[in-house]
Amino acid sequence: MLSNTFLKWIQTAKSAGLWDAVRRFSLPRLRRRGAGAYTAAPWKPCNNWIRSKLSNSPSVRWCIGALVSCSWEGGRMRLEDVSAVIRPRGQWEAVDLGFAMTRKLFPRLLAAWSLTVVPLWILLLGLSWYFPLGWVLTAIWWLKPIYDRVPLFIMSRSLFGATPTLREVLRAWPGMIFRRNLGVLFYRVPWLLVLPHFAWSRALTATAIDLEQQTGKALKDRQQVLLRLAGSRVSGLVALCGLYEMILVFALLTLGVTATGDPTGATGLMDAFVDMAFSKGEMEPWLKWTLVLGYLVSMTLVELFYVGGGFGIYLNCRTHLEGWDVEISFRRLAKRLQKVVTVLAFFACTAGASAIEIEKAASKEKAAIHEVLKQPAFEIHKVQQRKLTSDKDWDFSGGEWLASIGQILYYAILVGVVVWLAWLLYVNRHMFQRTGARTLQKPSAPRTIMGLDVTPESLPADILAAAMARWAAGDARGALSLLYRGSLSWLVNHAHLPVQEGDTENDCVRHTRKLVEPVRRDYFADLTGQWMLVAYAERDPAPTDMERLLQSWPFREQGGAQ
Amino acid sequence: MDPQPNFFAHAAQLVHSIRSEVRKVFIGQDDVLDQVLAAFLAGGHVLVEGKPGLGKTHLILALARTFGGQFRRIQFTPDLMPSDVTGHTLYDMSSQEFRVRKGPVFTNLLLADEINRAPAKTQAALLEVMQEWQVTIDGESHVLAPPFMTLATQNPIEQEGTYPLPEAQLDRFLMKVLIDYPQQAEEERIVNDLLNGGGLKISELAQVCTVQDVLDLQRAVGALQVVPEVVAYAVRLARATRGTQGIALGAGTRGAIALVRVGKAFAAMAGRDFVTPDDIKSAALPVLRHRVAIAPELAISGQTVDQTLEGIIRTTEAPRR
Repeated sequence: MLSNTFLKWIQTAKSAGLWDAVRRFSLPRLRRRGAGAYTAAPWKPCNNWIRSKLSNSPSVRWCIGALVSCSWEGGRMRLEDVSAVIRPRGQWEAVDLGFAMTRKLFPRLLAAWSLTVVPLWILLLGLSWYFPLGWVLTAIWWLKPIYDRVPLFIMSRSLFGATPTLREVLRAWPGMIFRRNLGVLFYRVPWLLVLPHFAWSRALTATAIDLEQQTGKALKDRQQVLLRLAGSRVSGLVALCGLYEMILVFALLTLGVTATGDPTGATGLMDAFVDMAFSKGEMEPWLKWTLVLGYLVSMTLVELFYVGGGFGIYLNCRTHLEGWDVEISFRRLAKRLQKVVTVLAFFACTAGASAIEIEKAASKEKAAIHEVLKQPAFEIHKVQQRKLTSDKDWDFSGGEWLASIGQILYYAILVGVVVWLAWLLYVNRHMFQRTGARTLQKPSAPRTIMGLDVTPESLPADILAAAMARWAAGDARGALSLLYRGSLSWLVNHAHLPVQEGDTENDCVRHTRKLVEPVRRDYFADLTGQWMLVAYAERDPAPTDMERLLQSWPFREQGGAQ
Repeated sequence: MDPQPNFFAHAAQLVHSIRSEVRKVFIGQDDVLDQVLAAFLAGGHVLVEGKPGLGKTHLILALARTFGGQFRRIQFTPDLMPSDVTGHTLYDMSSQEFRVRKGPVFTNLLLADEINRAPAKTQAALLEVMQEWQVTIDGESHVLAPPFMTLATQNPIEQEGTYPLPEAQLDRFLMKVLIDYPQQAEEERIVNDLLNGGGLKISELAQVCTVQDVLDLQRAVGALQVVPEVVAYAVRLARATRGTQGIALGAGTRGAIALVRVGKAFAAMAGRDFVTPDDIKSAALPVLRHRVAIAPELAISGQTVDQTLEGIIRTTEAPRR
């Protein structure tokens, strides 16, 4: 009650015009200092200036700090509850802070991730029955900004001492996906792809978007300010995390192969990659799904730290820009002075003062503050505006021309990169070929083997009768060809004979050894021998051999090729 | 005149006899023996790569013994001169005239041990003999008596102080054969044979045919018929090595010719008078492995030439007949 009274008093002081006085006083000084951190909320840089220049003026610090604090009341953040040590840091140190927060909250983050993101992945992977796995994986990658909101939700609230429970995370999860994020995702992600600058700074800009909920020009201005302060560092963070993600995928893959205990596992892995390279993309299913699993596990591990690092940088940016450390100090000061206010309020109460009287007291305080501001230290002697382009130290007439060249170069490189990426996608298009349900089915039987059409429709209904008719007509080669094609057709369509492009007649014979019973196997070997004699020695089979082959045709009862 | 089909049954029998004799002293290396025999029947030369002490000299000595041929061996060293290989003229004081002293290449089977230890000039002298089948000494040409086969070895371990054969000269070898340690049981047999009385000596091997039989065999192999589809398959294989990603240097036309020559030899060894795609396929690895060079990035990744070639063989379309 009493603290509310105190804050109401501060609000009154603000509404009385004191705030404008502070702005009039501080902003010209900040501009003269070349403060690049001038934001859409222009009162925030005051803290930096105050921190550096007005430390010897406790009354002013108290006064202005109280006003600044007042501007944050009613928001979701309560800086006095912050659980981390807030001070201006180097950006890599800020990344360390973010990583430390991730480590501290890791069990909670992992549990929340498993309950929210992993089910979504399972749902998406289920789509690989209907869509190519490559596209599904692209979708999983594409939706990364949505996943990042889960750890960000937990970390941002934990920072202010209100770590959400898993139930709260689950309750918030649909909102993360649908409430405003779909819209945000669809206008943001294309930008992430087209402009590497934004993609490389997603860890920072996405955090700002999610936490500040700004849109339009305010959002753009905000991003520019944040990127000016920490753009290069956040790009470094993205590069490092991307690299770790890739390394982790292959490390997990190698670990998995090693764990199988198969000494030839590593060689088998390399063979599988080589096979994939030479057979233009058909990846072995076990390798494909191991890679998918490795990718998702590595994304889980790296993404949590990536979000933590981005959040650390974001906090540091705000500390630099808005003087959170100063603000926290003021709040502590205000807390200590709350006792004085309590006494004042007590006297006010005992005097029967009503709310109107408190307003009057506020007017007195306003007058007192005005008195303070009239002191020489707050006097504005001169307002001078200076344009950077007219600076004599940097009088370079070709600047605009050079800037144009640079801009052209930038766009040329951008177009080049896009073209290169498109080319890369085109060259590796086999990686996105349709897989999933179709690959899980038995591969369709080949239509031609060694140049012979072995489809059932290309063969007569009664192969044996047709072969006998040809033999009777003196066409031994035709008869043998029918028998051989009929046998192959039966083996391919009924016994699923695995035939590769480079297989020869004897390779087919070898393949039948484990597939069919001895009678058919021996007959096929005999028939192949006779067929090779016809094909490569251009010699007709002996009548006795031909009669034997016609009499013992073992594929008759199942209709040959049918 | 084409040899009769039953000649090849006889040829197969002859090859079987030679193989059986050589296997008595060259144990556990049947594939190597078959490949060397195929090269011998095709009239080509063989480059052998393998660890020392795996019986390469035994193989050549035994092979020479089976048909009563001559055998010579040259140990290549950095100071070996071309004339040490081919021969030279010598002034004979007693007859007051120059006489030709023929070098070790005048033989039927020549073992050129560690050919990459000699400088390029000496290597070139031998390779010229292999190609031309004749030696020119002081302007006078001397034709080698057939059959002639060189079996050159390379030491894959020591690379210090060696002169690797350039690709163009490697192409003159019909085959490159890899020789590895025998299996446990076969190695035990070799050790036991030596410990229990020294085993069978090469001089104890039987001569199963004559030089003339070998020449007849070689002629018959050369005259074997090959249908165009099988030739096209050999050419497709050779061409596939040129268009494959990851291969820096593919096999030339000589590679395709070598494939058909060795394919013919394999067919004859199987007793057939016609070549099948399987013969070409069996010949592909030993015939092509020294004619292709894989790209450095593939080599760094641990990929071998044989693995690359196996991929090519697997994906190259078999003949359409």
